[in-house]
Amino acid sequence: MNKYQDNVAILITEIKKCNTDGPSPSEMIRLDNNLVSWVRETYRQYGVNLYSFASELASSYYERYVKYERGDFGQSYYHVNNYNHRYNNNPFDIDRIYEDNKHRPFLENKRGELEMLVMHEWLFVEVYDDDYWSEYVNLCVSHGRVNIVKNVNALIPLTCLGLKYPDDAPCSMEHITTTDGILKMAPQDDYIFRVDISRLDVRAWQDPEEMATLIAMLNTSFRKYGAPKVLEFTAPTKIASFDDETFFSCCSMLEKKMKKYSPMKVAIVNGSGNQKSKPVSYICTIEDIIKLKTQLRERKIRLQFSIDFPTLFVSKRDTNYNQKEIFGALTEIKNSIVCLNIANVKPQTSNWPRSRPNSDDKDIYYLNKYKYPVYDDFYSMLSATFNDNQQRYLIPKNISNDTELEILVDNLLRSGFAFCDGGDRNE
Amino acid sequence: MNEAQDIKKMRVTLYEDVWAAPMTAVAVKYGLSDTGVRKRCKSYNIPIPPFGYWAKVKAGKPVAERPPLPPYDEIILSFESQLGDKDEPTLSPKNKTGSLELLDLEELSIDQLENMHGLDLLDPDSIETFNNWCNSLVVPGRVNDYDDLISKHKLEIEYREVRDKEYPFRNDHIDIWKPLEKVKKRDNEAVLPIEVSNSQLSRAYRIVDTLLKAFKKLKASFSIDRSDRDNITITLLRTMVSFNIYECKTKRRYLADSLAIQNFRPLYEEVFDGRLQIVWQIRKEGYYYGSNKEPAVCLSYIDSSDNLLENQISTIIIEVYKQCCNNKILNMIDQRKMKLQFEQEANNLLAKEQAEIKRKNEVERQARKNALIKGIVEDAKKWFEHEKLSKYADELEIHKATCSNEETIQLLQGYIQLVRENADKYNPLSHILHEMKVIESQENN
Repeated sequence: MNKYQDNVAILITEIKKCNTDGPSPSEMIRLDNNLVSWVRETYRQYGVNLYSFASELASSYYERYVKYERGDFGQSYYHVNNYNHRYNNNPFDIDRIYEDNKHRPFLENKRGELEMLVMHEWLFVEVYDDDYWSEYVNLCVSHGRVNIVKNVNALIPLTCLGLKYPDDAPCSMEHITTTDGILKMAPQDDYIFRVDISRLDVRAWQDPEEMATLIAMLNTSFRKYGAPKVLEFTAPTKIASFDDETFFSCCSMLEKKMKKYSPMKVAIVNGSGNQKSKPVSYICTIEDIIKLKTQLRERKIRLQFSIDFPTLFVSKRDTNYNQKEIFGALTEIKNSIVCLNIANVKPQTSNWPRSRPNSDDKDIYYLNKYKYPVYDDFYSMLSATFNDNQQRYLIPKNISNDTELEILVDNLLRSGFAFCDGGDRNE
Repeated sequence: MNEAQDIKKMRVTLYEDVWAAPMTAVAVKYGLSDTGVRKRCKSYNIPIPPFGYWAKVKAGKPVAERPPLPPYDEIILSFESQLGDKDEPTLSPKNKTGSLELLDLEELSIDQLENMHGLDLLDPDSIETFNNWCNSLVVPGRVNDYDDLISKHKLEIEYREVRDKEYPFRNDHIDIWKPLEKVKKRDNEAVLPIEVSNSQLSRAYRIVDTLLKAFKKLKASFSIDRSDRDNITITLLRTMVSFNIYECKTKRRYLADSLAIQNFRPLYEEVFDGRLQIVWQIRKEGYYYGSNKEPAVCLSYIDSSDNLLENQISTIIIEVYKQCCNNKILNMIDQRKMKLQFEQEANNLLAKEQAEIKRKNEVERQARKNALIKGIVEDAKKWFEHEKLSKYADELEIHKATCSNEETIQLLQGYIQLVRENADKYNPLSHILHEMKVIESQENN
């Protein structure tokens, strides 16, 4: 027997290797790139499929804690989760599992990452509580539970009019608006500069000479005080004699002249489209934004977008799109969106639990014994729209005091945004 | 107001009666049993002679003096005396009683009432008694005998916990099939509005218990409306008072405890911070849900590091009672003003009616006068016809005297009678006199 001992061991290893599939990339699209690399590298180097392990652990918890129940009259079916996974210091008894396995080289200092893998499977596959995912990832990052994972939906807050953010939303940037391109005072720190040229008498978007003058003014300001992180331009006003080609030539000129201030980005802000007293903006609906994006891409002009949400949603011309569809359209151009202008919106909880159709086309509802609130509002849709590691700038709009700002920050935190001061940039 | 006066009068009569004759005799007068009379005396706060009083009177023995009639709403408060120097140690606290007497607002004028505010409703001695009593109130460290409302609250909260555990999705209107019901499912029964964490529950109970017992002493009544929301209405001096006691919440980011911040919880989450707050709403008499008759007066008291809610009990009771007294005075002023307005309106209505009657009389008188004037020619004609027929009858009388035939005389006599009767029919004088009399009387009115 001793003679064959080594051979048996090799045989078992070979069988295990054959039976262990590699992690599928399609299952891990919501996970951080570094985490995916870790899983793949572990499999490549050690033949251990961590994702599969996490999946099995989540599945065992499902067996233990999730009950399949039916309603009083047998009309509805429910998955009732009796496990409190939210804000849990030791979910899935991960401390014990880590203690037992921490000697393995691929798990060293990876307790949080392992927990995140299990939580990912649990939330997206087992209990369908994906609302919690981005908030969970951000909480893990802020509490230092994970080392290789980056924030999801990171926002760099900007202040204007002396508004003060809560301590957990560190703010070191300001938002400055001008109409003539001249920076009147030296900014305290980093800044974003908005040039408001939506007035009818300013024809910078329709007159290359005027645009050249404006660029010259900007150059003077930037030489004196340094370039901003983002240079925003308000969209042109739509007038009878508006010429698209002139507008794009101005865009092209602006992009070329501003290239020297890289990594400064140049963005266009959507304008208003329904106020009777004010003229309609060239970009006021989601259709306008998508059209402009397509045209810019065709002309290879690298201009970004600063989305003013309150203005976008009140645009009466936008009759073809409802709020969900607007967010759906924004998802397609999310990489070009650098700034978010957000006002306070009342949060709204969903009246009905989340559901999925089963094989009989009947809805199965997912209930949680621990009563997690399910939101169906602007913030949750905004969070779902981006759901990436790109850092964007937050410009609070129509906020008059610190209390209102705190409410906005809390709603954003709740819906899975994170706040960072923009030091370690990955835009 | 009439009801109050009736009660006042009736109390005096009954008081006089029970001290003038034995109870059995008084009972016969009122058609009741003597126990019935005793019960009524008790409910109207009328002192009655002690047992054996009338036997002693009959035997000519000395008897106890008749006590004066106390006020109807007499409130007797007992408290520990705090007289003497504070530095001077008192060997044993002295229990003291005092009664609160409310001024008789019926006897005061509107001007006097308008100058009164809050505790002015009490007579000066009562104010001192009231303040002493309030200052003697202490929230006990342990309560053995809770008020019924608090006991109900305890039971209801226990039930809700068990029920919610058994039916966790009841609030979402989701019923999961259960083969065996361990707890019967029912909606919440409204109880006292106490919303605090378990760690502060006992403290909140003791505070509310002290308040309820104090208000009971002040002859307040309590009611909890059937509703899906917890509530309490305290009726004190006909003012409706409600309160809500809850524990404040603070966002985790503002908690001083750094451990709490390091916990794997979101910083925007609001958590109970141990500070109790009680908010009072005081509404004037006549308030009902949905009416905006008067905006409620809001009083709020909160725990602070140097002044716990337990130490604010006396202030709370004084302030709330003051508001109730104030409402009573304002109510009385409103009632008086309303009464004056009502009287004024009644007088105006009467004057208007009288003027209308006068106008109608005048119109009628004028119509009669006009009719009389219009009929003068006709009346004259009738008068002359009457004169003519009378003269004709007189002359027939003369002719009859000349007749000798008895039969002729008799027939003539009959005819004369007919002529005279017809002559009277033509006489307009009685009609004219009657009309003149009516016109005269209408003119005088």
